[in-house]
Amino acid sequence: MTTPLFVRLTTCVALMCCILTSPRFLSAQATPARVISGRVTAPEGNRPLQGVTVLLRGTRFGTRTAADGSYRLQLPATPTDGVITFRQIGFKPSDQPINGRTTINVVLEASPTALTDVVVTANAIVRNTRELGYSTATVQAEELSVARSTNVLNALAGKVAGVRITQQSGTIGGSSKIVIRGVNSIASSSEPLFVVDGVPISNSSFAGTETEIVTGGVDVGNRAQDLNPDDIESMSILKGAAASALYGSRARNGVVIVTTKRGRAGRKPTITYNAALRSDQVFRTFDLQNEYAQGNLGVYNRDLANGWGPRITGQSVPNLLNETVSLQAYPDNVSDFFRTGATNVQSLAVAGGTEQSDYRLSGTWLGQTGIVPNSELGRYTFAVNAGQRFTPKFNTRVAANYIRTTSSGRSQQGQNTASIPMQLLSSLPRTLSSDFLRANSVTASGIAGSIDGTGTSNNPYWVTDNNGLDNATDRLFGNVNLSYDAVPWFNVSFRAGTDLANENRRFVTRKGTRGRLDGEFDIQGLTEREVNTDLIGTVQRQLTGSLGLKAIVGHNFNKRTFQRQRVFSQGLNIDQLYTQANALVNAATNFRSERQLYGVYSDIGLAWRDYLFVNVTGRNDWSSTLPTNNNSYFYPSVSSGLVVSDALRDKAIFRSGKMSFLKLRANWANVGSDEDPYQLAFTYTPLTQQTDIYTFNQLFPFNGASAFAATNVIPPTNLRPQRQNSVEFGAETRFLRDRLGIDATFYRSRNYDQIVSIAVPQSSGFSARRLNVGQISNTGVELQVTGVPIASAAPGGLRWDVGFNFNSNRNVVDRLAPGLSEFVVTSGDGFGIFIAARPGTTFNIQGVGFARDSATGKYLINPANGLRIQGQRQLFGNIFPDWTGGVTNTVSWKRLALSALVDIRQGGVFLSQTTSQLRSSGLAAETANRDRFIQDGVIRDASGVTRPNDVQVASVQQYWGNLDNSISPENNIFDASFAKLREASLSFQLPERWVGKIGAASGVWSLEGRNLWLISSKVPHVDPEANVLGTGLIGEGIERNVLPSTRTFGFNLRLVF
Amino acid sequence: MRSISHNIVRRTIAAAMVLSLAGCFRDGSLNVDPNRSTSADAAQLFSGSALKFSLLRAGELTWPIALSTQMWSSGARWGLAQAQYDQTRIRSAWGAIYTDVLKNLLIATRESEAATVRPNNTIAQLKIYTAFVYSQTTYLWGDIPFTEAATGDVDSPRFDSQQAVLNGSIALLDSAIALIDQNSRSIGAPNDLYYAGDMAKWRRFANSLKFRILMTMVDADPSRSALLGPMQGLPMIAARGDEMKVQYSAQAGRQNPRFSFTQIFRGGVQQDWYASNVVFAQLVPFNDPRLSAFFQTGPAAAPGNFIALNSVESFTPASSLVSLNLLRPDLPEMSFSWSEQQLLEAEAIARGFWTGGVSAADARYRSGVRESMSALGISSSQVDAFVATLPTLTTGNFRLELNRQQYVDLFMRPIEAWVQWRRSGTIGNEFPALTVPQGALVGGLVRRLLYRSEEIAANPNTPRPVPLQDVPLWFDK
Repeated sequence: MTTPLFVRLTTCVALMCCILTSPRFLSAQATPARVISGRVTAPEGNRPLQGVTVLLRGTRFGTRTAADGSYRLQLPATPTDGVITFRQIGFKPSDQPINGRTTINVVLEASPTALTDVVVTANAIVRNTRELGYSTATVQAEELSVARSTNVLNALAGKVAGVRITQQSGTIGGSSKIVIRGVNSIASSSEPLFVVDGVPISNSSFAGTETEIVTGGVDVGNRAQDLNPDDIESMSILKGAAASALYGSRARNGVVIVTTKRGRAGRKPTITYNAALRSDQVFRTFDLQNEYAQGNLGVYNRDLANGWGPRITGQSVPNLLNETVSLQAYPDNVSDFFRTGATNVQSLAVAGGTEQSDYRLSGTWLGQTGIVPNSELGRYTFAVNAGQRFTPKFNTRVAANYIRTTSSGRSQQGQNTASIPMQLLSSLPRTLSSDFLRANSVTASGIAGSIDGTGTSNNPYWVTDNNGLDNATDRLFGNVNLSYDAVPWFNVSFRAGTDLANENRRFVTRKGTRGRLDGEFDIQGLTEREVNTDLIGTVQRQLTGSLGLKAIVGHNFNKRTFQRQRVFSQGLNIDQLYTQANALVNAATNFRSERQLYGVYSDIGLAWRDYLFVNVTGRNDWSSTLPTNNNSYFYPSVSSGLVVSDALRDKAIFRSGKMSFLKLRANWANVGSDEDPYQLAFTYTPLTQQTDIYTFNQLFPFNGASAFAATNVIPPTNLRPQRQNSVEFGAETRFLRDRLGIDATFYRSRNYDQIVSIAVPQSSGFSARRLNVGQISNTGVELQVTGVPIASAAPGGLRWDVGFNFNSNRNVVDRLAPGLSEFVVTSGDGFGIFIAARPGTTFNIQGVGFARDSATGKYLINPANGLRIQGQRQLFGNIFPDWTGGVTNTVSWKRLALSALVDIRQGGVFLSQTTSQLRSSGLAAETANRDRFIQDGVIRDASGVTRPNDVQVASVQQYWGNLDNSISPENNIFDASFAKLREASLSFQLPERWVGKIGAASGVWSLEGRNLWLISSKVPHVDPEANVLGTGLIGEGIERNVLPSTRTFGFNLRLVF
Repeated sequence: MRSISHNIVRRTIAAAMVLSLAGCFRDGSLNVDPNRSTSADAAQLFSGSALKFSLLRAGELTWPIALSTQMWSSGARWGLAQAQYDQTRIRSAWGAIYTDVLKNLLIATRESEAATVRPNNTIAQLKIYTAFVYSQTTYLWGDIPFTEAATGDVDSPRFDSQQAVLNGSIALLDSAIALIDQNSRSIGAPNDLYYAGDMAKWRRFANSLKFRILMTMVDADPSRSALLGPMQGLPMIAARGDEMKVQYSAQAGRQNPRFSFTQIFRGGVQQDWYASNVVFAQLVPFNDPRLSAFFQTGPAAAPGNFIALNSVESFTPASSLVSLNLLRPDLPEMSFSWSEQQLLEAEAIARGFWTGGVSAADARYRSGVRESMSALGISSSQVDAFVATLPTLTTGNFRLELNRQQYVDLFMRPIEAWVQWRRSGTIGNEFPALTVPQGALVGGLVRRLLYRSEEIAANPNTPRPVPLQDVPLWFDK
């Protein structure tokens, strides 16, 4: 621990001690002239409410209710009258004129919108949003389960300003990436931290190395999808670093705080049953030509899988079986490949409690069949959440979730293997019917059928019938929480949680698969474990009538381990017997890592007259992954919220109700973070294989020889923790008696001292040097507008709610290492492209472009063939959007409610390599015009003189081949803007007399859909959101043969007994 | 109940305080990588480096070079762009040679030299292989980092001239040969993938390599002939068993990468590498039986009807293809063959670097051709019949005849064949004559590889302006 740090910590603690021990704090308040007392209860069962703020309006005189709901408010002699405000999270505030009373009992009415007023913040602390000095957003349970997705993250899409969700693919149980307020690192993941009931859990997605992901990788999903929407009470998004300083390093990318459902003390058991049935269809299929057969330059050739043959006119030709057939186009041969998927979710929960306890038990089963033949997913979830108050002072709570997910038939994506269904479909000749393909998926000799006469490629049905990834995951996460109220103003609590995930994967390629004729399989076992403990002391006290204090001091321990065992087996003796003893070659690897972190932290919160709130936090971490002499780092934050409408409540604008609420907030934070384990020493890796760019692996031991190789990264010296500095300002206001609400935020974060492996010239013998370097910043605005254009006063009357959210984030790589002009963020090895950043820009798609005439900006044309000329490597644009937004409309009338969410993205670029494949193979609809033409451009002669292009393209086939080659991505980079009807639902509150017949108290039936309509997109053929890089790699905006996303439609029934 | 809860709380707090005191990681032991070591044996570093380099030679450095030098024709299919000198398929070789091959060899050498008991044979093996890798690298890129390369000491190594690299390689070989000592420890089987620790063979290879390097230098630097003369009679590769090669096998994961390409991408159906008219012209007019060993007829061609293509000409179903037998999984990756040695010796004698005169050269020439054919499995009667048709070498014809046989002998070894072509004659007079393919990215014939863009961007010492593919290297006179 360094001296300045010690001083800082000591100062924090001393400050708190001074406050706690000051005579003012310990003594009674000023001598009262009169006392008003009473009891505050909730409507149901006369339940006492503890902790209700009781405040004489406009003064500093206030108190809070005790455990039995009683309060005793001491007031001065004058003024003799006034209004006392009772305020509690989850309830409507109540204003009570004194009118000479000395006893005022109040029943607080539960607020239907109450949960939008509270938020679960760091360490599972529930706070009223009015107190916060930073922006948060909460998504409620019902919003998460509308047209539910197998991955709960997808339910956040379009709903929260500053939160972007990108689904990798339509793979069953596939992954979704979440980025909050832009990426914070040029070299590591910017995924937020996930916290369930106060304990971090993993959202890992181990999909392999960069090469493995883009060359035949499989979308294996991310672990956050294990969260069951039926068990979630709410999801709160803490967007900035100030909101999350208490979680430490990992929270710099934001925090997704999940609060699970629990029973209510004193409630009779209620049973909730939910059933959801839905169907999934391909969201978007290719737009194909149906006029031309396979071949070359207009001549039929069954050997080729493309559309460059002759016009289809019914002519007689030999087919793949050498039968003479009449040429015919099958317009649906690609779309026929996909089937209608189905999802069935059945959930049952029992919740209740006694006066001293509460419990909730639930079980959910999800069964899904995917749109790709033979893809299936099953998931069981069991959850328990129980609390027991052993004594009035001692509380305990236990929560546990067990999830078992099994899936089969996940397909490969990317390129460079012969078993990628979408690659086969994007080169499928128009003349092969799905019936023919289905009937000939196996040849007479028992190996895979093909879609071309030379037998290069596999029949796509063979691939989905036989090859793919199966996995089974067992996940257990939960926590135990002990809480002790030592004295009324001091609580000590201890929370211990664990998260254990064990996944077994098996990827098989059946014997007889073209490209892997001998068959192979890859078995992996992945075990991830996290243990987290927090010991927290909390002081909560009304220091004076006006000043409240809540101070927290805590200690945190976190340990994460990861293990991977893998055996890659090649050469099967017996077909379809996937056991290692049946393989000719087995290559085994294993990997293990462990990291630990200790932290101490403090959060001192002061509240002045219930309208000015200030929080100061500080935390020091010691990380096992940093150099021992520099493994300690301190990080502070300050945040403040001012409810102007309460502070100036007598001003006309607030009194009149024109502006019913105005709050200003500001915060500053500086967060430190550590490094991955084992990055400090110069090490030698035992080699399991030598591989090349074509993934031709040579396995060790090779001819009996094993091998080692020295690291290619020069280890760091004098490494420091990474840093993030952020500021945020915001205003929240409501007008017209809360009919219109606006919440606006400006933020800026700078991430510096990043720990990055910076490329060095490879001739040095190393590919990179690891060091603290560079800065990346995000600057943005968020806007959240809510409106109620129509609100009939009558019960069940017409009500129309509108919500709009907007985020514009500007991400800039401010600087790299001295002398370094470019940093390659992700290299799509095998794509001929990569994502790169240069100082002053953000993440760009980079690649070789076509040469242009500098004077006119037009393409330079080769006079020999009328085609474009290859140019230089260049940046093709920002992969991130200029802005994103979501619009929600909900109309309710009597028992009906209709809602729709439109999700909008504007700006950024998207590279579709599937489009490139469809075009270069002459299958895309835009290639149907086969008349030669002169493309726009200029021809430059040897002396440098240019003239407008006057040379026809050699052929249309060569034109598209030139544009859509593997070298230049330029012709397949599109504006990534889109608008989607993301969700729509129509729900009907079932009449009590109907549901009463089956013994239920209430019921809701709804018709729901997800990803219903691509309202606009500039990307042809594919979903503009597809992302082959998935959650495992940095970057997005590149699509290559990923499985198409789905359109979902179905209904949901919820009954409460 | 109350006392129980009090106890629980007290114990929990105590446990947590103990945990907190533990937290400073002063010894760093938690951050010791359990998956990697902090030291490695020279033998293990050698086998990793050697297999990587063999993989590069047989894979990434085969297709683009064989296509751009017109040893193969593209059929206007997968390799069309490469036949037109596009180099995007040579992505990893530059970096991998330095990071995965040379660096590990240099570390192994340094560690061995620092050992209390110096394993001189091991050091010799490492130096010989290092010299081999550097000479190969400079034949591809010309001026390359050598003196400051692959040590990690210099971030942006200086580029040394090709002449300096080749002389440096010779110096490495000389020092290695001097170290060979029957009593010291060598890298043996199985880590020595080439000679299983047989230092006599390493000595022969070292001499052969030095001889080959000098033969590539002598046109640009005639003074090197002074070094060539004394080499006559030194132990060099003198039998098939002396050949420098990595033996691949039919077993999955140990197959020759050339087989893997056809297997993985083409389902085992060869449809990428077509017969080139350039090679045809050296075989067909002479009824060379190697024609049917090198090529197979197209699927639609009549038996025995071999049809070749120009380098970027579109294939037809009748076009001949490179024989699958030369793409078989257990094909060795040959770095120095006995036939190559004999033909080089014939050249050295014929050119007067060695003594013996043209008649001695002729004998060595016939023996080399005989070995070249026999190694392909051609029957001895066919070999005899063909060798009998070879013209007797004379001072007038030896350059042409040797050039032809040396070129044909190096079929399927594109790096060596390219070196042979470039040194076969003065600029514009190489053998065989090539023409620039339609659509080529540069105006002249390909004579070097472009430096890798990452190196250009990151290393300010990369030669500027960056020479294009048709700029001759120093040795290419």
